[in-house]
Amino acid sequence: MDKMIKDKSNFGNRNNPYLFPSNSHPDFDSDNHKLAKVRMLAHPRSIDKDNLNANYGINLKIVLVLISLLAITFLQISQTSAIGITPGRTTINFEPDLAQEVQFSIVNTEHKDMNVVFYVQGELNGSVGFVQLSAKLSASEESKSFSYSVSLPHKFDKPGLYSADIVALEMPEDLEKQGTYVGARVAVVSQLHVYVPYPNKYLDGELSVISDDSGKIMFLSSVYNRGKLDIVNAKTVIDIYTPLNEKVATIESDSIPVKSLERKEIVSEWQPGVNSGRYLASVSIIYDNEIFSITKEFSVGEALLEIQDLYVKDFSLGEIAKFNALVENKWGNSIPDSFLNILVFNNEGEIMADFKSPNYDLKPLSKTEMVAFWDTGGVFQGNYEGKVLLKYGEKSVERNINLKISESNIEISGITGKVLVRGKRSSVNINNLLVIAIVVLILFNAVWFLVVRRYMKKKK
Amino acid sequence: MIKNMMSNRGIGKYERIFMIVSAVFVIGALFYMYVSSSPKTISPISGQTIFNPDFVFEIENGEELVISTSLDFTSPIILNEGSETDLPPGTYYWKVRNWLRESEVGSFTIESSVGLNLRKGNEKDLLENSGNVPVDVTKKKGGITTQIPVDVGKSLEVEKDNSSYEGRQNG
Repeated sequence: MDKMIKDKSNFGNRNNPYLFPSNSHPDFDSDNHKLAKVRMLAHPRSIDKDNLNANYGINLKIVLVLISLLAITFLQISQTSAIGITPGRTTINFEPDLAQEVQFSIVNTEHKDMNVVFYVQGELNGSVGFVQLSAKLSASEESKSFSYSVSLPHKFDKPGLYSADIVALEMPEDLEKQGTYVGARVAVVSQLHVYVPYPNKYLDGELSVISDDSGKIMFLSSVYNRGKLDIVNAKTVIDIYTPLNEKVATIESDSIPVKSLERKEIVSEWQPGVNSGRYLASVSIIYDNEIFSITKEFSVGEALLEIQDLYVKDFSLGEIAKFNALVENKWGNSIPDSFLNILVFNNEGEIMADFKSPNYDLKPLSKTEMVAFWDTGGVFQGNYEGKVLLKYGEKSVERNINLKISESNIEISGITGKVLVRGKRSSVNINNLLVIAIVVLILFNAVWFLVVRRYMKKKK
Repeated sequence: MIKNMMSNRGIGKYERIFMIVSAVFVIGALFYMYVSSSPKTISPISGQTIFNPDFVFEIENGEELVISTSLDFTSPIILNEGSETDLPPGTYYWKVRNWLRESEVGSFTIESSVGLNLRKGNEKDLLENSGNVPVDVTKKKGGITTQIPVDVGKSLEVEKDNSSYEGRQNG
């Protein structure tokens, strides 16, 4: 909460690094002492040649050590760590001696063979037990379900939140053969939150901001009564501030009751009549003469910077490819020192190419073409995943992309990072044909009645 | 009676058959058009739980997609074909409508998912948030612990070292 208040006070400040970042993009640090050390030890020239023939036993050990180090080096270089877990959080209201099974799933985000080790940490670690402590996922498994048991004590001394972290740590697929692992590791946590009810009225909440096609902003305030007493009236008052700390709107919701240990949602709508940009919502949830506050930044209108197009022209595999990106600055101010960073991943998910454009000053309310070059020497034809990052200050716009590389073409398609609406209209074409057929029939009948009959009458 | 009227007007047998076939065709076609133009919710199927950070609503014969957190669709979110939005974890109700009719109401749940990808690079590694909620990443290296927030769909460059990264839902 302190952080939230601090963020709010800093919101309108032009020195706010979130809004007006001053420093330029970080340069890559090419130092990598650990990897260099491993490579040096693994290098054959580090073996003392004088002793090489003298002691075969030692020599054998050295060779084994070298093989191990090479394997470790290989692991360090080749492993891409990726793991997901769902749900991110499970919330339980405390009941004395509660025993419960909780389901969770490991998500194989990169669709690869992997080993996962489970462990628990946090104040409730004694209350959590696993059915299995490790698991294997094959590349074909998108996700796999597991469970842990929760056994709560008869009583907690204080009301409030008690938690445990269910940690899933990804281990190398061939760890059993190696016996050891050196390298960065990735773990994900599914949190277990147990709330012991407060004896009085106690409200907790969180805020989500959603916008729709009409530009309408929805403030979704989820409120939880963590107390033993019912809350008779709870309502939200949302004040909206510009980056310069000017209040532009206040939205007040209707009051609703929230029973003990109940969760409810209060939805407030706002049709903004303000310029596009970042704003701050300061939400006061007023309940029976108490106040709970939340603040959250959100965007009004379209993104300030948008990568509208990314394409490669006149390409030949093995040559230098010129990537052109059309970037629109929808903001009223110039954005200096912006650059494009394009990453291309190989089939193992590693970064096989990382190239950047020069820095550009993006003029206000205008489009700029940014150019980045990639030397495709040694690159094979095929489909590759990648990422485009448009970096400005400490912020970035990111898009996942697919690159279909052929001998003379790089076809780039974007993947949305959001929920997308796609329509299916297969039957519409049939309907159109039917409409045409009906119109033709009606015309045909009309002609038949008017012309042919008149002709037949005349003939008679 | 129709037969008599047709006979009186000098309509022959084949014309009569043609007219009846035409009428049957027109009525059948109109009925088919009415049935086939009904808006449908295809995906996500009702009751589905989603944990992917991006997914697609598939609809048929719809002009607008209406989403709400309540079954009575108070304060709905209205989206058109091709539009994008961010939906936080929770249970939603949705339906599709066109100028004539509305589809049946479906529901789906977005389950929070915490995901981290560490992609190896030549000079630096790339740490990606592959889940659907913002995460706080705890980086541990040589007894030093640092917290790094990573928003949904965002990534950040990290040093190539033997650090361990632990991602948990923030808030």
